Amino acid sequence: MIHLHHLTKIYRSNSIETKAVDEVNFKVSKGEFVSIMGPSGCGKTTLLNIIGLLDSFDSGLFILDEFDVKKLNEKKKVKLRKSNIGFIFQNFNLLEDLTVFENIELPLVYQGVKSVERKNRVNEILTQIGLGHRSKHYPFELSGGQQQRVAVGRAIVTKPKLILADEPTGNLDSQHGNEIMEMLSKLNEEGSTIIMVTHSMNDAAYTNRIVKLLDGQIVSEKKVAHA
Amino acid sequence: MHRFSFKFAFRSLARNKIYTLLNVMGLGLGLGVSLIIYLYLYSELTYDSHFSNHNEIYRISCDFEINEQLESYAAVGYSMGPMLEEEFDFIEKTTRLIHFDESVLFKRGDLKLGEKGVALADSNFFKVFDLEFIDGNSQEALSKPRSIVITESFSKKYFGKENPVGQIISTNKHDYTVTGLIRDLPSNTHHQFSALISTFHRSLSLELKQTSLWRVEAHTFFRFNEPHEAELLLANFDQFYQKNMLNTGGEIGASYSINLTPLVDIHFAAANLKIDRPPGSQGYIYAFGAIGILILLLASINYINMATVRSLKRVKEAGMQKVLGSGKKEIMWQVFLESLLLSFLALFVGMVMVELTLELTPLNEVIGKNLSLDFSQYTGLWWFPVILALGISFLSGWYPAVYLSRIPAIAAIKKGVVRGETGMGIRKILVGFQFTISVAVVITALLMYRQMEFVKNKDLGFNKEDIVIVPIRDSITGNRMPQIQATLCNSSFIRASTISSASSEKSLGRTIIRAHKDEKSDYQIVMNYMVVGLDYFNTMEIELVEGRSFEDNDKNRDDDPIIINETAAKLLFENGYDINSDIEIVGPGSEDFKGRIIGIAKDFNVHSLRQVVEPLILVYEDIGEGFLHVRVDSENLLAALNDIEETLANVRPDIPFQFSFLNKDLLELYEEEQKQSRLILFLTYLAILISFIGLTGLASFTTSLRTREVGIRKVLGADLSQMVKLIFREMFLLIVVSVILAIPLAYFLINGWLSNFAYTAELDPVVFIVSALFAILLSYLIISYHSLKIARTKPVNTLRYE
Repeated sequence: MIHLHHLTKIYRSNSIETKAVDEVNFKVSKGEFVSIMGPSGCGKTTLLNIIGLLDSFDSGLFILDEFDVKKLNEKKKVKLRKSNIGFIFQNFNLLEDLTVFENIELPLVYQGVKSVERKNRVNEILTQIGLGHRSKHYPFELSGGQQQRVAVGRAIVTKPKLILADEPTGNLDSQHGNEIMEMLSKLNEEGSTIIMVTHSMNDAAYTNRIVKLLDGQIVSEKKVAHA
Repeated sequence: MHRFSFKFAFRSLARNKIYTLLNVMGLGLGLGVSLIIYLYLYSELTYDSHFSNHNEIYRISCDFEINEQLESYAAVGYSMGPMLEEEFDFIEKTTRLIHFDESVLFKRGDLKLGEKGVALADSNFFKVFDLEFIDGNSQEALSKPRSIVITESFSKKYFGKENPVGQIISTNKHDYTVTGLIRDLPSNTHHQFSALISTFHRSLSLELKQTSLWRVEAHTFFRFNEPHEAELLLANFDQFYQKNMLNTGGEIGASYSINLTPLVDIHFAAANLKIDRPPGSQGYIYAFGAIGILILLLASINYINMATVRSLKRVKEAGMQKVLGSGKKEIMWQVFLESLLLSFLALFVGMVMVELTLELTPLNEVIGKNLSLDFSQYTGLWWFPVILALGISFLSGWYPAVYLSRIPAIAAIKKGVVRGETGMGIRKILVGFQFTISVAVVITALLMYRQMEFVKNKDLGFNKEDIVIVPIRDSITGNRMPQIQATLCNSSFIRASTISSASSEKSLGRTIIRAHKDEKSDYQIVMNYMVVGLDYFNTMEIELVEGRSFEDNDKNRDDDPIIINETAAKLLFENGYDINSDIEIVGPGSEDFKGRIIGIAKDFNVHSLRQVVEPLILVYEDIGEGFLHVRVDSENLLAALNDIEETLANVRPDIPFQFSFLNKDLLELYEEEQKQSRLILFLTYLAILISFIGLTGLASFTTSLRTREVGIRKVLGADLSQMVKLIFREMFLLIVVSVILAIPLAYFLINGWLSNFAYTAELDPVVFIVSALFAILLSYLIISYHSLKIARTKPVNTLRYE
């Protein structure tokens, strides 16, 4: 599903070049749950953003679902992103002016889904994330854990092939963090491909494969054995 | 367009209530003011264009030249119109109008009222001017003597709800039959009358008609079928002049020419014409237009600044929308939509403000207009505000829309506001500009106020305080003036009294003087003249620099005693005054008169202070009609007025007592200036308000951008005063520079305005300095407040902020 070949991303500022991603070769197959780990500044998030079509790269090859990303223009990237990829961030990034229901509904709006179908889908998701009773609340009325559940709901409402999560439990206590990880696991079991950046070994233990990054390069990859 | 875009826009406006309120009120204020100015300009620029045939109508004016002095009048001799019409076939119609300077007393039953705005008109008037008749026949209305056509509001006063047509209304002298009822005239017309009385048909001999052509009597209008016929009349006038006017012209050594002004151009074209309504000033049109644009600009600047500032706080939100699949266009549309909603909300608020202002405040009275938000009256009214609102939403939406749609999603989510991309430079320049304008307007308003005070208090060469003026409009009272004066002098509340033909510049006469010193020097000048009664100089407290004032037995002398003012004396006598020279007053319409100068009066201002003192000649004669001037004891004003009323009622009990105060009458000469001064004052409040909203916005934004920095500095040990200084430094230079720039701007503005006056108060540098310091102080307080607010916050809170 994802194939990175010698992918490189360089940040330039005041004649200093930093290779944020350095000749990375990386494959993710359909249905995998991969975690990317490494110290701060090793390039995890940059890599995730490139995979999510939010950031560009300087050299190498990136094939996403048979598309050569280098050859796509901005418009096509937006189209590909909105129908195939869901995002979850550490700080939730919910839109403050919209209710829980509307936040989850928004990606469907951008996809041009009809109103009736949107309602059904959002209600399904609300049940799934256990926030049906909160649908008319605004984000600031929810706890952090609830907000992240809404963010997960928003990421999966379009039934994306790929879910990208950037430290989804980073702002949560362990109990709420585990809840989120359980949700992601369940989604993976139902067939979603998930790539997650994390600092937490505990979270990584939920995934199938752990990729370790250091200074922009992959230094190790290992499968996780589940009991 | 998504339903979501609307939802976003509404919710975000509703959530930021204070921001929305400030913005809507601020912009609404700006839009409201510019709308009022638009209405004002529209009214000024469409003067007299409500007549359907306004393009066919021209007014004739004349230029007199005598002894190289040029005089221009808006009126011509009474016979001029008909004689020209007879001479030239292409003139379709001509009509004449004579306005009464003073109010005319009308009575019906027990109701007696003095009416201003009454005029005489000939039978052609409504054939030239198509005014709407509610009742009566427009073609016949003024064809019979003693007919009167009245306006609706005039009718309401005397006839209530009755139909006035066919009924009788009287003046002191005659009874008139109402032959027509017309709609009230709009405020933007030269024909400011409430009643038109038909003129007599005088049949004069050709010779008398020809002499009368040299007089200045009637406002005369022509109707042509084709525009080029006006040119034709001008080209052929000489032929008429040769035939009818040349002889008299030769006798008095004068030449004469005419001009034709299209009706719609009169309002602005007629500068310096005598016997005319005060013309509109193109300068003021530009000035008000500029002020309107300026206020709008000031308000829009705040609006745009606040909108862009807010957009910076929404960077993250826009980034997230992009991640979720929103395209550039959707983001731009969303920003524009919000801005559009706000602008139209502001427009609505502005229109409500305009309506309330026009209905509930005396603004219309103050500016002498009848403005209203009547869309049917102003065809161009609807699109102006709509275009304004669209323009402003585009301007204020453009920067945020482009900025938010271009910023890469990932950068937006991560970093939020990026320093150096905040448009701070532009924002500072805009606020500085606002400040410059406001301070300049404040200085200008203060100096205008000082000039008006100067005008009120300037020594005019006579004592204008405590003088009661009573117009005497009937010869019975006029002829008994000596006895009336004697009776008045017996009152212990009255100090002195006199009568004169003029009480201010309005009723002053002009005549041609031939000064005859010896055989060699014999020349002519045009001078103002005034006929005065006994005790004039004493009552008015005018000093004589030479000779004596008039005495009772002067009437019996063979030569007529006259007194001239210093300016006239300097003009007549190059080498010192000569008390005993012969002076003849000659001119068409006045009898030959041989005057002897018996005294020279110190210069006094009969005219407004716009003009320098002109040469003036004072003649002593019995006056039938004129103005009784009574100097009263101000401590006992009511008793004095009572005595005057009683004295006059003994002569004519049927005439109601009308009076005014000289000092107030004189102030009326500055009506325009007072209006402008009041308007500027109003704009000053507005400009101050708007620019302080702007400064507050900028100060709060600047400080909020530095919240984190302030927190870090505090952790590192900076104290409160250092923090305030840090924030203050950034803004203070801006304020000082804008205030300094305001000074030359104000100087330029006030000098332009003062050029209307011949006598001006000195430009006091203290006004400039105090205004500048005050502006700086006030801004110091605002900035300090915001700096302190942020400097006092606990560093823990500020650091957590991001």
